[in-house]
Amino acid sequence: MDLSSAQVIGAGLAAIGVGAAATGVGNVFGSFLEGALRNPSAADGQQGRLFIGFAAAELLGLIAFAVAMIILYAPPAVAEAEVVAVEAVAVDAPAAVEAPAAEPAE
Amino acid sequence: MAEPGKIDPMHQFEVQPIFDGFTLFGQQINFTNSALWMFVVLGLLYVFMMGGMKRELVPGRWQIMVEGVVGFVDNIIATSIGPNGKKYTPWVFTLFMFILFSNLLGMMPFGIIPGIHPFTVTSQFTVTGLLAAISFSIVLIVGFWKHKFHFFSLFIPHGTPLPMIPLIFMVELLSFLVRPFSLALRLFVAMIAGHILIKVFANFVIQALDAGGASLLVALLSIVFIAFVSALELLVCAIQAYVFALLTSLYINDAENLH
Repeated sequence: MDLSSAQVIGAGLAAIGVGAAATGVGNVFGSFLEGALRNPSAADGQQGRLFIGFAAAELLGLIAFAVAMIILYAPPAVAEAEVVAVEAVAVDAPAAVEAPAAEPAE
Repeated sequence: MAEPGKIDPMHQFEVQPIFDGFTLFGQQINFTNSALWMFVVLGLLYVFMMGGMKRELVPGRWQIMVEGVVGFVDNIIATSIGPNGKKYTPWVFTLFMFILFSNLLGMMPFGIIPGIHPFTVTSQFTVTGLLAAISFSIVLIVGFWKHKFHFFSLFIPHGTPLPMIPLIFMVELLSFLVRPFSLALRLFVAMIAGHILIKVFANFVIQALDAGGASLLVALLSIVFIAFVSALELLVCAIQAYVFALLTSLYINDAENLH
């Protein structure tokens, strides 16, 4: 499997993490609404904590998105793959040059 | 200029020089579109605040708006830090207003004017990283200045059993050190993600219009989707500014009052 296919598959898998974070965010707001409908007068005082919980849950979803972007556009394995490819070409080229040179000699 | 018609969702975040500047320590310092938009934010903030500083006893509409925003930020600080948090109001207010105006300016429809596009200042990790670094520096400086080495008691909650203290200290320390990074990353990725989503659906509109026929329905649906996502993005802009200011006040409360 070449690098760009693996990159695209990796980004797709990382996007599943974003869906998991969406569940978390919905959980935060759902719990707040449930409590707020039972005790509406106390709801406004807790609005600050609602947004803190939302920010914490969304941060992890955004981290999953950032991982997907890193895999797609700046994967750390790219430098290693290029080095390995360059070495493989350098090893093959002298061997390829020697083989045709050996044949006319025979 | 790049070849016309290239579809590139990331082009809106590209920092391009407008005027060539000078060289400092081997780095080229130019006046870029990012700097230009920061000046636009500064100008708008100045106009907004100056318009409301009239001190009329019966306030006009503009003064009510400015007083409303100031009261809002004062409320954040009062509920987070308490009465000895008033000295942090300038920083938290600046943070909130700068981030709010930067986020909102990135959503404005300046693309109607051919040749320019709106640039979100806070879509650069350097900008959000710097804002988070300043907030975190305030936390560290206040914490160590006020409490000296007692500041480390912040990481050991009251009543932990003695064998668990080293482990809990390590975990709390790690969570504390991640704070500026999380502040910067949250705002940065929230801005980037929304704008990329809008651009991707704009690409669908263009490609569907080129295909013609039944694809025109796809184009119509995409335009409706862009409208809804833009409305959601306006909400996210305001929420992210509020969350940044709120979390900064909470972290300053940790340093000032040591739980």
